Amino acid sequence: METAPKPRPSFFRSSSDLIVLLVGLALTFFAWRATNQLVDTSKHSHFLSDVDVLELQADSKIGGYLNALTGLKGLYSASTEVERDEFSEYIHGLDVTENYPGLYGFAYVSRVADSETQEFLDNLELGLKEAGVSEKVSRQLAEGPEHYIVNFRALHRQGPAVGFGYDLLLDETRAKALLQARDSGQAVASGPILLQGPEKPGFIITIPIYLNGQPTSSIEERREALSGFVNAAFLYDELFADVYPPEVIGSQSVHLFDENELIYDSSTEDEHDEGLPIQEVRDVEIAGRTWKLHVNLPTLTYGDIEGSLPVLVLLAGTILSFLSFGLTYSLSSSRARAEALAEEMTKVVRSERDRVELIVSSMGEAVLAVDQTSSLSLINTNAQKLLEIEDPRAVIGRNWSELVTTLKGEKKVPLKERSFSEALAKGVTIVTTLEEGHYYQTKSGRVFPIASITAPLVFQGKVVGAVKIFRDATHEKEEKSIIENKVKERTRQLSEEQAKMIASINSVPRGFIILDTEGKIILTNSVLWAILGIKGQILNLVTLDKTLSGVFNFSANYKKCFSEGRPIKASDLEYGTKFLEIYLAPIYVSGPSKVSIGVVVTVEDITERKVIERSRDEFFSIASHELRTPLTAIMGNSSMILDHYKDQLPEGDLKEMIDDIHSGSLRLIDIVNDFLETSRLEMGRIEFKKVSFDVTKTIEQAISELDVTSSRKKLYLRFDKPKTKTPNVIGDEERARQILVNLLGNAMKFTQQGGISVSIATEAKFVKVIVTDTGVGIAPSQQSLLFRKFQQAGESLYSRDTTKGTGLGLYISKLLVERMGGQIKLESSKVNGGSSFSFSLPAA
Amino acid sequence: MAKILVVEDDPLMSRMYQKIFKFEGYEVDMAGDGEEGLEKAKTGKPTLILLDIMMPKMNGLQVLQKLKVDSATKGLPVVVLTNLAGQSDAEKALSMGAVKYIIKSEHEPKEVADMVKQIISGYTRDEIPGAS
Repeated sequence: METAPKPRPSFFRSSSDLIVLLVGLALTFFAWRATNQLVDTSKHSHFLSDVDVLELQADSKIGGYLNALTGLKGLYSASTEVERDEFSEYIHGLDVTENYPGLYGFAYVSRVADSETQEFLDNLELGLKEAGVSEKVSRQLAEGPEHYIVNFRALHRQGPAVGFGYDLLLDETRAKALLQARDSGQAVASGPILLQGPEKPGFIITIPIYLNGQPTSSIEERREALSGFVNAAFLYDELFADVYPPEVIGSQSVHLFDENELIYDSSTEDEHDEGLPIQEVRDVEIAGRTWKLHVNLPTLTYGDIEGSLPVLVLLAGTILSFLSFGLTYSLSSSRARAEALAEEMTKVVRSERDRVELIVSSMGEAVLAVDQTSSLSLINTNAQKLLEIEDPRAVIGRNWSELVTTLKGEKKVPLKERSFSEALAKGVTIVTTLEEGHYYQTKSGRVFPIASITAPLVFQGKVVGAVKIFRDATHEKEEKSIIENKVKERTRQLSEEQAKMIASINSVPRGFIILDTEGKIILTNSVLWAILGIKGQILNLVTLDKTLSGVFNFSANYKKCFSEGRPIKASDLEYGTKFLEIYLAPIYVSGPSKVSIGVVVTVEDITERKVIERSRDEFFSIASHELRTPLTAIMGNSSMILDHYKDQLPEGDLKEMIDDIHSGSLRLIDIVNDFLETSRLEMGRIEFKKVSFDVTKTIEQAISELDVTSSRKKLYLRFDKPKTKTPNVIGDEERARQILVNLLGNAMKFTQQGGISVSIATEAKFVKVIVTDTGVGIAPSQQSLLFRKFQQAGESLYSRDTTKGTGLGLYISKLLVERMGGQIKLESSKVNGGSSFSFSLPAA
Repeated sequence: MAKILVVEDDPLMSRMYQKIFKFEGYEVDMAGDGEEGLEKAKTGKPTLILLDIMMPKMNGLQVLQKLKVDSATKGLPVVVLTNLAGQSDAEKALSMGAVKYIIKSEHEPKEVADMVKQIISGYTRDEIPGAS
């Protein structure tokens, strides 16, 4: 690249003003972005960022005023011989009333050596007269070798024009600011002063002006080179009323202090805000001076206004930038001065630009600006990187649309719909979020998702350009899509699980209801509707209760099941012509949590089962009854023959045959009785008494009944009655006797030598009766089958000992004991070493 | 002489009990169903009635009920003799005024006769047959 050409008018017009504009814009965007971030942050910490916004507000507004002042400085830097009309023209061009509220006026202050003071003041008086200004010249001077005298003055409003010829060193506050500005070379704001004219409190910002070509790198050199100052005077109340308009302040109250002096109070007179609970204090740096910003809040709030703040800042900054631009432009009418001014401005602007570029390029976002013809005027390094632009100079001035293609999804976005075009055409800020699915396609074909904000630049009501801040959202998009995929996957798994569950639920022949913790029905299956014979009605606990009125109370049982956390079963419910079985169980999520998440209900139609049960029951009863009658006839008649026709019966075969008929009938009656008993027990058709009785009496009675049999077999049968009184038991005495007789009968059947003893063991809540024999014992392999239906301690079906009964005895005993709340078991047994059975009954 | 009325529809049973009570020296009257039983209870002046439950026309429990509301018959001892083994049937019969509930298959005819003898002795000592 060739070195910068010498300044020429064309260069100035085409470049210098543009640079001013760009820097202004860049600053504005920086402020906009910062404000934007603050607003974002404020979503997390409302109050603090409210204050941040207020702090920034002061910064950016007053920063704009400084811009205007810098313009004035340029005016004087170019030539010390600035004419009064030029000065006025400049001030007029600023349109102070419109754009700079609170700015009371500008002044040019000349440095005058003490010896030249009189001549200077005379000239001033003459000049004023020539210009038709009728003000008097103050001739008051401070002590000292030089004076800083007000030379030009421009007031933006009517008022007594005072202060021409005034030596600013006379006033301590002003003098302090001027000297600090002179020594530092920076703009300096003064402390509070009473402004002459309006006689109201305010302050000045002063910028030192040095003679052209003089070195200004040290304090001494700057003191030497000083030619004068450009001052801007501000009224506190007007300025801050503009900086902090009511919509920005909201319910907050703002106080500003310069050192300890209150310079602004946002609250009206009748408000007392000292008591506001929340206070935040911030420093606001204004041209080398620190103000304390006190913000008080009644409550933490987040108002809508902050959302629009970034835009406000952007617009304010944009306007200011164009003011500077307009100013520079208007000053260029005088060519010679223009060139010098250009140099000055370029210098200022360069250092500003370097700073701004540093900031802009250090921003994570890419920044672009276009003018009203969509030609690119600014591009930061991030934007270059993302758009694959090696040399930014090659693209500046080119149409933005040539740089990159915008895609929405797969489709190219037409030029007219692109955000720059829209911002330029409609003058609106356009926010493109990630969700809108916009992509940039670069020259190399790389496509990446973007998020951007495009804002128009408005000057005097006209859109003169637009700025876009964007970023490569690939990472966010990926993260988002990962999350989305995960969510999709989970949703899919969930719906699959649900489908499986629903399919399972629908395929079981039971009605299904799942209730949540509130008792709301969240799932039912079609079988339920079929079983209940309902359709098309709204199903909830209330309607279910109505449907099953008098049969089953769903609401009450749901509550019970849920609150007690245990299942509830209701069987044999007569519902119309059907029998139902309803089962409720609490639902727990697997894991350590023991909190139920609802209740699952199954409703089963057990009509068929009931019919089968009933018919089996009836079959057994009738069969037993009908079998017993002829058997009784055989038994009775055979025994009567034996009793009453003894004489006619010869001893021998005939008598034996009739004997066998008799015992055969007896055995058959026993078998039929066992079958009937089993059937009735299984059906639950046997009622049990619940009385307290002395089990030792039962034992004694049973032993006396069986004594004959045992002595016939030459076996002992004894009761080892405990010495102490055995507690009574609760149950049905007749059933207890039946159990005991069964155990004793078994013991006798399987014992050939020795005998049987009965003992009692008293346990915590039970009384245990133990029957011990010295019989054949039971092999371990047979023991587990003992209490099963039709089981004998025999090897197989073919080896059944038919003389020893049906194998229902122990099974019946087991059912009987359990119905009384006790237990029956084999205590011990050894092959050929005897067995010991026991049954227990609850103690009274 | 004590007279036993056997109300029993099944001829096997009927004949069997008729025999044993004859053997034991009683006078025996027979009825083949509930209605006939009720009729003979009124007209035949039995000492004791053996009453089956499952019978045509009128079942044993209905007969029992009618016997107990009629002042002419309500003093007659009734023994229910059946093969229905349900405990509830037995309790019902006893609560309706039966003296005893006997399950046929559980007792030899002689035992039944002995029980009846005992019962009658509680009522009319004089009429116990064959004071042997």
